[in-house]
Amino acid sequence: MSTIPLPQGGQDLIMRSNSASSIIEGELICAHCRQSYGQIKSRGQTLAGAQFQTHTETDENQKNIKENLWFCCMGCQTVYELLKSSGLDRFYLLKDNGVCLRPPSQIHFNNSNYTEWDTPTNQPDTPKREYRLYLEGVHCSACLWLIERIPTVLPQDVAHAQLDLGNSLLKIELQKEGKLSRVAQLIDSWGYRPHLIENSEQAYDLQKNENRARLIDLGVAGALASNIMLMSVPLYAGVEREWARLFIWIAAGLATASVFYSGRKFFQNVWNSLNEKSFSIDAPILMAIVIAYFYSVFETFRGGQDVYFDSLSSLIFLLLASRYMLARLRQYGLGQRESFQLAVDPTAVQVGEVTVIHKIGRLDFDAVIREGRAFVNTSYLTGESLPVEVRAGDMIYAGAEIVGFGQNSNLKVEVIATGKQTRLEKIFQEVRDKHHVRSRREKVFDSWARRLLMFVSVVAAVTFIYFASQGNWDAALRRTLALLIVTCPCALALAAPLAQTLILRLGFKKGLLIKDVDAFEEASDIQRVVFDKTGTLTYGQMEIVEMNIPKNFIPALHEIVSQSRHPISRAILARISEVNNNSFENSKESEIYKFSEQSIGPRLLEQWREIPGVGIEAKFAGELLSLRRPLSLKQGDVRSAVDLIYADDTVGQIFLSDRTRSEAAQIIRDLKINNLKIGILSGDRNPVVRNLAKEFNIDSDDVIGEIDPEQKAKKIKEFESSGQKTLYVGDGVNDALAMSYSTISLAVQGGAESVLKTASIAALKPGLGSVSMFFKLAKKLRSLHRMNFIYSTFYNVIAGILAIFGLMNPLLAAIVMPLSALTVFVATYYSISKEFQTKDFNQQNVGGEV
Amino acid sequence: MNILYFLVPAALMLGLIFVVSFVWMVRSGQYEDLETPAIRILMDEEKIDLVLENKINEIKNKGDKQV
Repeated sequence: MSTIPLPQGGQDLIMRSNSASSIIEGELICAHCRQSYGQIKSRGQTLAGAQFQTHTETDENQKNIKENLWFCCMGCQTVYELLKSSGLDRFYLLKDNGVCLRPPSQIHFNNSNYTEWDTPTNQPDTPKREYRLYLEGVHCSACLWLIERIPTVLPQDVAHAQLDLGNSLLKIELQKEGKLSRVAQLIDSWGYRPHLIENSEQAYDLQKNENRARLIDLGVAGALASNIMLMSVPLYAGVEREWARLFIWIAAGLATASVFYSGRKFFQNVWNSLNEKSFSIDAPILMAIVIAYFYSVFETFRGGQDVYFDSLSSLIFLLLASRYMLARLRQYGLGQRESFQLAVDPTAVQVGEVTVIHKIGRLDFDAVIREGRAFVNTSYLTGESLPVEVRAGDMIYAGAEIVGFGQNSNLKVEVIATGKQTRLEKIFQEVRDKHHVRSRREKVFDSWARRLLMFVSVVAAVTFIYFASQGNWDAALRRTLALLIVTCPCALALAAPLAQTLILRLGFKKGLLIKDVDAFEEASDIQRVVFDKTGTLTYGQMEIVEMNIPKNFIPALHEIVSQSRHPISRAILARISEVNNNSFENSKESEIYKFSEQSIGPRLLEQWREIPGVGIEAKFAGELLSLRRPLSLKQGDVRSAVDLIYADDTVGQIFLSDRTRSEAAQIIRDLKINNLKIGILSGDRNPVVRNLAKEFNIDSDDVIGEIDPEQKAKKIKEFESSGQKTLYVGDGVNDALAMSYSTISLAVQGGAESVLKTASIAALKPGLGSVSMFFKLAKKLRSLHRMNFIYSTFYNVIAGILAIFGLMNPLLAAIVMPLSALTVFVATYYSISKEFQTKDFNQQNVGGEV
Repeated sequence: MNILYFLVPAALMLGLIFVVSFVWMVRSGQYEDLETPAIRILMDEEKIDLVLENKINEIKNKGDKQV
């Protein structure tokens, strides 16, 4: 950690802000994230240059501290300096009273240069050059201020920037020659990670217009309903007969608009479902509305006072309202684009061409190797956790990452497919196509509604025949119609979207983005849960499980691995700096490995080189130091190991493995208790997969390793066609195809963005807790539905009996119908908001943090 | 009671005016973002701030000289 000079005017800032950084009750507060040092396990550092000041020294330095800026970590400091250098430090003034910013996590600095965002395919179809970006982490007024200052920082690129704080959506208008990549880099460097929203302008406009149309419908329906109610009050209050006529006629006019304008969606829905020979809950509702309307109009002409205009118009309004809420919540979910550091400029390659690759990075074309050797990380496509070696004649596919080269350090490849023709894009295409044609089973509610309608029709027919047989035609007609009106399942129709909306919101709060609401209804059919291995059951990256290295070799080890891109090197590097940073923790390990980076000196090593497939070596103090694959490994050991060899002596050994998620065993046990079959499909080596399955006691028949994405999908298809509904849990692109064939799919957090897009459920919190969370929520929704069904049946029975005995009149209907809806509303709302507080739902984040 | 001949149409007219203005508000996008404008309006103009800052600096400089 180097010392960074105090930026100009830094002191000035503190005086003005009065709290940019200060000591509150002996605690050090970070100038950027405003967190106290005590809670952060990292060294304090001041901009003024006093290094490693901890809170013990603060007493003597209190005077100085007032003039200094303190930071809890490098991330915070970096962001602070970036802002300061752009003259945007007013950010800190604005946020003083607001919510704190988290320290920017390392993930945010993904070092992507976003150049692929400038490709022509990304140009919006309007001449205005407008883009929409989704930004992670914007949350307060200071963020809003900062983001909207982009045009002042990049005047040559950005003409206008407007942030929608509620949706974290940034609308940006570029200058003629402006580059989107520069904007993305800036936003990224501030610690907000940008995602480009892919939807074309037309799709966006379409959705916007649809939302507006829905809202207008809702507003008009509300206005009509409230005016009709206004006209109905005098009737219930017993106004004189001549005035009553006037009010009834006005109400009739307004109700006509309500039924045929506001209610036109119901006519459409019922018409569509009849065309498809299916049945929806709209049918009995529409029937009740139409009967009530025509009966009331008939009464109006006849001069009677038995009109249901107020009930039917408020019913239409409430139905539209609950559907509007659900529709808005369903629109969550982002169209995002992956961002990679590419090895070769995508515009520079053509099919059939031979190119030389000499840079490390990801490919976005398929190619066959003509010359040279390389090490390729194919985990993106196959789930294999360690890089594989490829030689002349081998295929490498788009999405693979080149991590190292063979001896002659470059790779001649012949491009055989680019763009839409690559295997990767073909998988995506199949996923997209598949997504639209998935068949749905009949919704629970629709089947209930159909049974209810049949039952009510029979009762109505019996009622009519009974009274008609007695010659009382007037009573027969009246009572039958009243029965049909009051027994419409309106409370049910209102409660269903409400329950779904609330469950969706609860899920969102608990870290589940449910993009397919029907997934909840299908959850009860699920018989099999299939997991991917790498990244899903495991953390997906090599981690050190044991490190036996003498202390004096640590600095050299640090240097030898810091120059390599191999996953094992990165894991060792991560471990060393982790141990080093946690110096406040008095663990034994940290005492052993703690070292100051200054002590490394300029360079300890010479002649560093990487021998692909073997290891890395360099000269250290005159002798050869190497870190290499051991010559012999114990049989059946699934851990990977490397030896540290110095002057032909093995001085240390490091064991690595892809660590299993700590909560995985518990989750799998829970699923098994619920009689679900568990399976693992992985692209990783068979011994590794089998070993993991043994750990979880999973039947070996359902565990398959070394299979590619297409085979995974085939396996899922087999399950599904044999009648076993499957929930697929995965994270990588190699899972996307399998996910599209499974009944429900869940993408764990940190998964590839294209997978988050395909999955019916995307987890927003790390770990597998979301799997059991999903089943819990689904169970909750089912019990809510059942409860609502019981309530509304109860009301319907009472109202039906009243109608049959001729006691049902419009006034009573106007009371009973909203009352039933209200009861169901309150009951649903209460039982879910109670759930927000229960322990069961709060301990969800079972140790998923990486 | 004859006043109703005036009041009822007036009430309906008012209702109509509000419906029309509601439709206009929705069409002009005022319901799309309900959170941000409320915050944005509370942010001071930067120009004014710059003026203030200059004044503060002036006072500070004077103070320095006197010391």
